[in-house]
Amino acid sequence: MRFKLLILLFCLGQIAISQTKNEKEERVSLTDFPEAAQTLIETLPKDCKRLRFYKETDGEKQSFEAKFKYKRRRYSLEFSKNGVIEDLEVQSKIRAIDDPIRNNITNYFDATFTKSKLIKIQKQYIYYAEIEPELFLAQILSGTTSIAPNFEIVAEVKIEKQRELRELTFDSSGVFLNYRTINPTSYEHVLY
Amino acid sequence: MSYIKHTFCALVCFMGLQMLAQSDFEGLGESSFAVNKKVSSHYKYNFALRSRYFFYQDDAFNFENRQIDLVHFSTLNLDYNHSVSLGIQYRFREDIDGGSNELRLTQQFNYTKKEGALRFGHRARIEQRILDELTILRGRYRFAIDSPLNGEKLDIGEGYIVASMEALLSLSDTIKPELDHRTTAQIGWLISESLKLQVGLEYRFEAFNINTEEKLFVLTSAILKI
Repeated sequence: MRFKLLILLFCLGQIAISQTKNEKEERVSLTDFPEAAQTLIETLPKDCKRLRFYKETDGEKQSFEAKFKYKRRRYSLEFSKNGVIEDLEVQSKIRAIDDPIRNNITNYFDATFTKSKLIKIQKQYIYYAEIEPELFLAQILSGTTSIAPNFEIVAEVKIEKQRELRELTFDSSGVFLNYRTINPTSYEHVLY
Repeated sequence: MSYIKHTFCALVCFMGLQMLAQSDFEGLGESSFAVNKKVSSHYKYNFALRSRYFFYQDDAFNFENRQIDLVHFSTLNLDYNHSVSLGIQYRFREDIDGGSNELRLTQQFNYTKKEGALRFGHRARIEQRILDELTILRGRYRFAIDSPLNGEKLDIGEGYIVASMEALLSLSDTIKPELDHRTTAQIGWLISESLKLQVGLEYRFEAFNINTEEKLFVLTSAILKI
């Protein structure tokens, strides 16, 4: 009886897995990346740690992301469907942002929301075609880039008595650009 | 995530070996159906119906019902990763196996932290178990790790694992303080946006400071989000 139930549960799982999904993020291997992206990833310093590859599908849109740790910082390198580099993000802390910029950002939060809590801060270096991708990467990793990064901040904000998770983007001088609401998804098991 | 899969398999095998080595061991099953409702960003509640039954007892396989629980939890989210909850549960045993019915009140604090694909959960609970003859005060702490089986985000159709360890201390006027320990490993699937199925094993060392009883639970549950 119990065994049959387990089989049934397992089958249900398989059916669900074989369904078509609109939105999916999955771990893949480097060989699943577009060739241009593979070539670029091979130029990363040898002491990059925890190098992992992800593919994201959202309807028709596809993108690729490589995540790694280098000199104790967490990086995330994004590619388009064709393997063209889009941006390189590096995790940061609010106090690591220089003062006039940090002030602009914190002022925005104070003025817009009754309450806010910063969860994740990333410097976002957007790729522009005038520079060789290898050089773009190498300069950021070695800290010699002249590109001024945007700031991408995930925060829990309270607005009109409701709380929500948002990903907000600020430009290189700390001026608010845009936001998107993050769906806390169904990532709530019965556990809690 | 292959290391998680390996750990999970090893854990399950280990549990199996433990089970075979015991002669005074009991095997039980617990099946539950839970409904979760998020009312606002601050408040959510949960109702569950849970049944427990023996499938292995006195060195033989046999099926015997033991109890049915009706459970309610109300949760207030303090922020995105801290919450407090109040729970009330009624356990029907008297009409099933003659044991005492029980009213249980629970106060809970929960904290989670996400690190890449892994989510760590710390949960502290205080319970008042009101039985016919006595009331037991119980404190418990659980540490849990969960993770999707693929990638860092749980997508529809994907599987996930949950592993946890919990320590419990029961106090009452009439019986000695009792210490319990539980280890749980579960695998689940997000079938659709609103439905999850979970199966797993839980190994319990009960009253291990007095006279250890060992129990293996086979857990099955369906969780519906409305």
